[in-house]
Amino acid sequence: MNTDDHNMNDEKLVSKVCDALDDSVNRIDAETSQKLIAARKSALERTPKRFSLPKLFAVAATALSIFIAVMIVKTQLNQPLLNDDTTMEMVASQDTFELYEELEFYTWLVEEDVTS
Amino acid sequence: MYSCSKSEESLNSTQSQQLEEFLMNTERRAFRMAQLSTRNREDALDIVQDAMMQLASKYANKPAEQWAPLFYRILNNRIMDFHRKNTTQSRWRVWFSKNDDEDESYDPVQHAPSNDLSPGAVADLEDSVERVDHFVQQLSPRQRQAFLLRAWEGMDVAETAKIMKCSQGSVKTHYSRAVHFLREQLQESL
Repeated sequence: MNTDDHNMNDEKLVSKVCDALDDSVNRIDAETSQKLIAARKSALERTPKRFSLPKLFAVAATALSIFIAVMIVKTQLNQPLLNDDTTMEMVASQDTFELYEELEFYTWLVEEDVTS
Repeated sequence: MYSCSKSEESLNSTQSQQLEEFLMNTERRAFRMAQLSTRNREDALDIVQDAMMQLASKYANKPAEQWAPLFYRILNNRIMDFHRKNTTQSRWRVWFSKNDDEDESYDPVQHAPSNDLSPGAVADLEDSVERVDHFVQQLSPRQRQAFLLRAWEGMDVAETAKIMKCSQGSVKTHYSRAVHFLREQLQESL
């Protein structure tokens, strides 16, 4: 048998095998077919959906709110807790806080001394 | 802007319709390919479902003409994963049963599940479909992939090589060995 005959036989054989495989597809039972249909439907549900306009607005609004909240918190944190010299002096001094709590009394006391 | 969004949505629905048609035309053949490789209906269904899900979730936005090679690549990866998993499981099984039995004469080949039929049983197979099924199952996984993709799905050597992640030369070798084996086995009976 020469090469051409061999190739022709191979082609016939491959074509017959493919026909048999096609037949086997047609013989798939109803239950399997149903399962394949269900599998296809559940696969199609996984198709990525494009963002619709209202969804885009919702996402943008949420992002903006988060940004504003972060900026507010950041500004608050950046503000020094002791923003004037008096407070700084109070904290740094060795005196007790009692003096400052009753500052008005001591001021009155000094004024009384002056007048007397 | 809203009209633009509308047109994108309609394009999307066209694409999903095309994808549904593609899957509808492919699923049964893909199932048969998986079934010939796994020899089990449930495993084949799982593999096909997994491949369809991956295509739909990750590659649905690709051009429609790319779906077939992508789908068969995913399908073949899943089939190869199935073979690898089975090989690992059977190795563990052999190892454990060796330890359990402490039987030195244990022969894994004898315990391995076999689908081979005796020559008489092959001759008894009802028709050509069953005979083809039987002998296509006897091919090695790579030979079967090459044969089914080239002969049945009509893919060219380059596409098949991409799907099988090997060289074009390997595809030609696998395919020719598959045809040679099938010729030897089926020439008389078909």
